[in-house]
Amino acid sequence: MTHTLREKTPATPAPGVAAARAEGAVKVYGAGAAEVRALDGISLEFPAGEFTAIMGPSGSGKSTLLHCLAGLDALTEGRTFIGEVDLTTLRDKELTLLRREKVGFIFQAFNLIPTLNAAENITLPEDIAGEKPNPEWYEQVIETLGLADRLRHRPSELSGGQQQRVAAARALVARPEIVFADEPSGNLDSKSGSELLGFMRMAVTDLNQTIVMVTHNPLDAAYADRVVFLADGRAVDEMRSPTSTKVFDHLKMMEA
Amino acid sequence: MFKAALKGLAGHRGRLIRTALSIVAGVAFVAGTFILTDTLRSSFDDLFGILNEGIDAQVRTEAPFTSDQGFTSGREPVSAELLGEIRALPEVAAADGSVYGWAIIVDKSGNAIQPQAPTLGFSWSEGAEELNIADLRTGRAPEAPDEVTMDAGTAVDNGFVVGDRVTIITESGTEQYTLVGTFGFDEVDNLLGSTNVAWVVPTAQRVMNVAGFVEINVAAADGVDADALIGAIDRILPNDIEVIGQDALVQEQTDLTDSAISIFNTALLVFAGVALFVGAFTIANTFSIIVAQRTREMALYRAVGATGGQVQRMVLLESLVIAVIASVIGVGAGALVAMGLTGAFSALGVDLPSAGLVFKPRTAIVGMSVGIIVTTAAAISPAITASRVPPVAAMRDIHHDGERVSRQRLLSGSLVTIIGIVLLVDGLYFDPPFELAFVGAGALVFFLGVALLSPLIAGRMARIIGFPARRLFGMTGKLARENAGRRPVRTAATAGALMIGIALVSFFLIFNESLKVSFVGAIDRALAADVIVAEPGDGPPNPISPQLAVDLEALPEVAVATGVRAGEARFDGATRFVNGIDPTRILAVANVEFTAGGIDRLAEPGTMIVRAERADENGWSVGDSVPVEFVRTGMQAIEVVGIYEGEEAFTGNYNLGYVTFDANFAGAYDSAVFADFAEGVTPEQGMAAIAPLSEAYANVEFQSQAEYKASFEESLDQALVFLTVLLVLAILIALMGITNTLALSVLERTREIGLLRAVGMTRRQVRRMIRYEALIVAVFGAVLGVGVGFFFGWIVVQASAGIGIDTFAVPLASVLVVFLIAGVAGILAATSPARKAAKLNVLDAIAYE
Repeated sequence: MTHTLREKTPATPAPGVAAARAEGAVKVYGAGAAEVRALDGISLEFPAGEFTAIMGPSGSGKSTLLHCLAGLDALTEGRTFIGEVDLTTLRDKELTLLRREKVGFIFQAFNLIPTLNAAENITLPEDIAGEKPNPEWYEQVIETLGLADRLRHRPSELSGGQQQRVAAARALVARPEIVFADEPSGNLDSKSGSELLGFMRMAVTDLNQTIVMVTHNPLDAAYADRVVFLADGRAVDEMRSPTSTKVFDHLKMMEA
Repeated sequence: MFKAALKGLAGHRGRLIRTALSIVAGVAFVAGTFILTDTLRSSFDDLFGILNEGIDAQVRTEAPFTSDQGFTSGREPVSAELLGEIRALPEVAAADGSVYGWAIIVDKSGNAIQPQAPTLGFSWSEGAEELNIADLRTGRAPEAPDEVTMDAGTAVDNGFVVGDRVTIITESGTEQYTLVGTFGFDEVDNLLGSTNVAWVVPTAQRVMNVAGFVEINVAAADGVDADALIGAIDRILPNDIEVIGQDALVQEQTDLTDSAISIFNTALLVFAGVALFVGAFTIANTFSIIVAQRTREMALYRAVGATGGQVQRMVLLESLVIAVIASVIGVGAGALVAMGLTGAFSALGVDLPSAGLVFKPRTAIVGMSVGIIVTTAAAISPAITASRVPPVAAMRDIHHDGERVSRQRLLSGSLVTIIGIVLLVDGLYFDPPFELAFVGAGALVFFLGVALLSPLIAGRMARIIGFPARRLFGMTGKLARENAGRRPVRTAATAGALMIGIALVSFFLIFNESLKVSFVGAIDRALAADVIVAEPGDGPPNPISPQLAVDLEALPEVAVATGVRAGEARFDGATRFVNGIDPTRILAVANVEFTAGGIDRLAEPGTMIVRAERADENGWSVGDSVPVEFVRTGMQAIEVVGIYEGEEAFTGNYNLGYVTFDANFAGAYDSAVFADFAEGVTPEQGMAAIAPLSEAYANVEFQSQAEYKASFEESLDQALVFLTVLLVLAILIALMGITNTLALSVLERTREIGLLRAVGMTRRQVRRMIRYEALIVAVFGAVLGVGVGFFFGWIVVQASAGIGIDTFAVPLASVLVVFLIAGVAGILAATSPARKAAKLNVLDAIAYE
């Protein structure tokens, strides 16, 4: 089945342009004594077709970075880009349309609208835009994720793993330039978690999808091409071709 | 727990305010009604005090009962000789004969001044100043027969000044007088919008056709108390003349207005009750949503050791705090309502001579109690639900969805609905004592039953109503439709509040239409007349001079014209309307079918014809002699000479010939005149020919049959508008309920909305989604309401055949407008929650705990 998938690749930015990047990103919460610098001048690139994991201890700013990269939150200083679009210049409506067209999301929990069945949840971004997903592409994503017999079920009738696969399907069917995943396996048992990460890996390898994922789990990070380590709002290190052991050791070292 | 309850309230101020508002409005309506009617009562008390000031006793002929048809009570006049005898009594300081009746002023452009208030003429007091109710403002008192004075208010409003010639219509015809003075009454220039003129006594006697006086007013000599005065007068009075003291006189007048004010008070309170009922609905719904959303909090209280009873009391306490605050505000706002209503009255030309609003302790007590009882009662069921939350729920994830609609609900709902129907049918068909209470309670219980049952269909209805939304608006429509259907109990309760107002509006619409269709049908069947002459408006009847019928018939275009007189008489102790008709002409303008006897003998004195239904009820047949009691002549034996079938509303039940009528009623004037055009005369030609008569008879309206029907329909429509306006409050409260429910639902769905925003839903689409949901809920409420309104309309029309409503008619266009308005109102109600939903911060919405 994978050989057919290779023929349909997601929309990708022009060669040489990163799918997303941050330039001197600063995010400050609060003021005065209560001031917290969640991002303290981060510059990072996320090349197209790569699976990047962002790791770091609690409060290191990894979730804030993801939110700012995805256009869900605004920076205090600096700029973030999706492709060549500078998010800091966009207004709410333009941001919304950009998310709809170029970005896919997989959250830790509450990924699905409870009143819609799986199929409707998967095509939600297209439906909101009043568009139709490419039927062949849709069929392929559904098949790859093994959801064909679950399409008429509502979220409450699906297991946690199935729910996250539906969320992944939603993120992929829209063929976004980039998928942001925030602790996607956080609520799953380890078997469902590794299954989901396997699917995400396949989307990158076979479909040339770009994925940026925040996680605290070294097992998950091992599926990525690259791991970026954050601490105190700064990118402190980077690891290529990670394994769970290497990541685990690195984290231990950071905490020490 | 008290502290917890207060904190719970303080934490949700917006919700608190919206919940309180629905009770504030109802309580304000109740308090406003009391303030208004107390103010009216006190105004009338002041007025009667002013009018009767200085009158220590009044002498008049005895009457077995009083009739308020026309302005004279219908009593026989007292003689001028008696006045002389009374004046001669040593206990009497002064005595004055008084004559009064109806008199209509024609304004400077030739139109009769006919306000929704009495048009009075009376005799200017001859001697004693203390007996004169009028106080000169400008000019002087009338001295010559062709001089007149007018109340200063009417004079100013119509630009009359001393020296003007004024045309006045009385039962003797239309005449001109010279205005020599204007007067007021104590402090006020006018009495409640009435018009008043006063002549010298002989002129008043002539134009009112009174030989003598309607009454004699007496002032006591110094040092003579009321009892002594009354005793002294009573000794010289003939048998059929009576004397009453000032207190009794004031009491008589007060009783008359009191009963009218009481009816008004009750009517307003009914609508206030509707508003409160809707408010209770809204509150019950709001509380149950809040309790559902706070399940975890309740469970935590239980987990740390609170008993179910304590949790229940905490919720009730919250409702009590809201109730007290809302009721206090409501009672205060009642003053504003009363002021608004008073303003509305003065806009209608009824100036109330009030020295400010009357606020009795009773108003506050009733308003507070009603508000507190309704609010806490509405919170009982949610409080019980809260107390049943198990402690373990604190640890569980709460699923808001999947509300189940139980079989128990089906059973209890059906039972309650059936009880409602039984009460309604009993009240409408079996005339129990307090039948209106039965009908009211039946309607109330029926509403509750429908509200209990409506969740059973809420989900399906939301899907059906939302179907076009899915088609037209894509995913936003689909989501709105799913959201409206996902909590059937909540949706049904929200729609149910709207249902009540809409049901009553559509009931009025249907009843009004049925009334129109039935009565227009009755006009077609009963009236053969081409022209109907009647006094316009809904004010007190202005009698029509019998000369009008004569003048009409004198026109070559008119074949027949005949006046119908109206009065009241008592049959076996019950007061009934009777008519005076011309037996030789009436059948040319009215269609009746004699089932026994005929009209011929009606020309003989002491005879009447009776409508068959009444004759059957009374067991009368032709030839029977029936005792009838008249105000003026007392008990008389009247022979039934004919029995007929006809439309009650247009042919009456008891018809006397002129000869019998005029012998028993004072003032032989017509209340309506009917005419037929001569053969070959078109309605246009005929109406053109009679048009010039309207100059001499400015106080009446000449209408073709078509115009008569139209004006009849118009007056019904006006009543409908009035009733509908009174229901606006109930509908507004229901809309607040929609706003409240939506606001709470938005809160509940924060994450969902955040997710939608994250995957690309624009703010505009979010707003639209919430608005569509409101639209669906509102239309659901309208469907329920119109359905219930249809049922009420149908059952009431079925029960009203006896009063001439024989056709069930539905004004489809108006019902469609009701739907349209409900939909638009629903969308408006969604404005604030929609805006709030659109403004939700995406990050807050998707952030994890």
